Amino acid sequence: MAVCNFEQQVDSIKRKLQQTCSHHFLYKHIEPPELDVDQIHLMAYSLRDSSLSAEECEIYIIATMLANLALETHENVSNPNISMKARQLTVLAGDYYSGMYYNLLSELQNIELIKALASAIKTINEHKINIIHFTSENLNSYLNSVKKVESGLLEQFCVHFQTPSKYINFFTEFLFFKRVAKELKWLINGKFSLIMDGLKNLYRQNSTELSLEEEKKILFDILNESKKKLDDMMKDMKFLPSFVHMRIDELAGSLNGGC
Amino acid sequence: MKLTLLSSTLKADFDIIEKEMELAIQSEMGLLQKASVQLLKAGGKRIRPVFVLLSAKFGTYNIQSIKNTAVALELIHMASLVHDDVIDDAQLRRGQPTINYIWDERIAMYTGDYILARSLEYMTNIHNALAHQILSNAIIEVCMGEIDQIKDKYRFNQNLRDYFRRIKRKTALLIAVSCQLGAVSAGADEKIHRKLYKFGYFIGMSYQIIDDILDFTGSEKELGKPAGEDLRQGNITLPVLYAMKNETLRPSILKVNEHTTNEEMVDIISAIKNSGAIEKAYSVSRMYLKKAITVLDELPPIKAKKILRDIAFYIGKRKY
Repeated sequence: MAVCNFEQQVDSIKRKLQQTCSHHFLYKHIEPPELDVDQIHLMAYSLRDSSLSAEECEIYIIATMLANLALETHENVSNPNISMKARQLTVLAGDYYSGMYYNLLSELQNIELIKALASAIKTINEHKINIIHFTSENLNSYLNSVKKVESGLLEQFCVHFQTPSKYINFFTEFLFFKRVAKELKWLINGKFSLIMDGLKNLYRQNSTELSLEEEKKILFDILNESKKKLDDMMKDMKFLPSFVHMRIDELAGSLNGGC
Repeated sequence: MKLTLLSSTLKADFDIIEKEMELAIQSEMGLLQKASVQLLKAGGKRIRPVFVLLSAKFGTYNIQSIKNTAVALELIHMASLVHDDVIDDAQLRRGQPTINYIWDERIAMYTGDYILARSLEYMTNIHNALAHQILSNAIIEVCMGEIDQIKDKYRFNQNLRDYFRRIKRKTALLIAVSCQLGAVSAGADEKIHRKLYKFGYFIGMSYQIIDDILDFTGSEKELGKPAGEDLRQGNITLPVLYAMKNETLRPSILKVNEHTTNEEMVDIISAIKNSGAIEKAYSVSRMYLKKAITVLDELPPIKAKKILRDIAFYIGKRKY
């Protein structure tokens, strides 16, 4: 994939992904899925020097994004603000995207990537359950589950296409940072934070109920720690695309003044 | 599925599949393990693995390889049941509390996604791109069928074609691909696996029509839900489509909605049963069964063929 066409390629993937997901009846009743453009960027970046054709790169990224969308879509099933019909169709939309990612990779005859992504999905769901029914006293174990949920698919994608491990570690941390930033924003805006909800169990063991300010501080500390790790990793990576720096600054900036 | 229909060799292989199913749902996450075991213990007819094994006999049969396809197909079916229970907000499945009822929708969704992922992991032990193309197409079609089912709820002006297309996607397709994939995974010829697909498709159609008949003729104990529940939920099945051709009966059927009381349903069910619609639906089921037997007759004369025939007749006669 030529570097000069990088942004065009990302746009093209985004457009094709939207077309692939498009389903008239589904979208009459449920919201179209929100695409994580950062993940498209990271995958496209991982394949920038590969010997694959541009078309193959696109299909691989679209397939992996569909697997991601399937999981994200199913997160909405428990949204209390949707109708029964929307809930039913949300279940089916997720399953439909799963079928499509499998189908795209079957057409490319890449059985190994199907296996890798299936393995990631299995692990992600185990960690999702760990997040909501967390019983350990180990904060790192909990945060590791969050990382696995956020980056499990991207990680397997990168391993499959032999992306150097320092990049994989950076991408993992970036997606974790992004998730914590999102959860902190929700908390600041008075919305439910799934991660904080799980973390409360851990902190409750030592003290009484946490105040909102204490909750924000906990997430803010985790976010700062993650930012430090990202800054350290970036020193060792000369060729990161500019969008990564921009996104990190954007995410960190959006929270300034919140705590 | 009555195991008496199977030979002793197949019973041993079937035990291997059952053990592999238990292994497939092992997880370090205790809750996920409990939820999956709950589902596995609820049992089921396991018709898909049986069809996979029998169809594989038409190729080069190797249980260590073919078990991957058999387990994958049954896990896909299990995953779809977990998600179906969320869709239907069901509290019971085969008399056992559902995962969404014991825990919640979120856990049910994660469990279903986990099981589907495990099924694909098993399937990828089969290094045959055609097998994956067939299965992935089927998964998409099954979803489309379920979406259509929601779209068609309480749509009383639908026709027979809509119904047949829906049950093809909802039930027949996964049975058809179970038969086809057994043969494909065992390296059988294209002519053979295509015939087995047709056999499975006809059997699946017959099976679903009988299921739709039993919704009216079965007892609450046999069905695990009140009789006529499909109709009350807005699913327009073959007996209903035939019964609506009766002009006196049609208006009362058109009034059915989710708030229709049990007493009202008893009268409607009785009227449908007395309208001749059940017999008509049975004759369509038998027609599909006959087609299945005709396709079967074109297959090579091996022992599995007789068992497939016995299963076909068993399905035709089943009472619940």
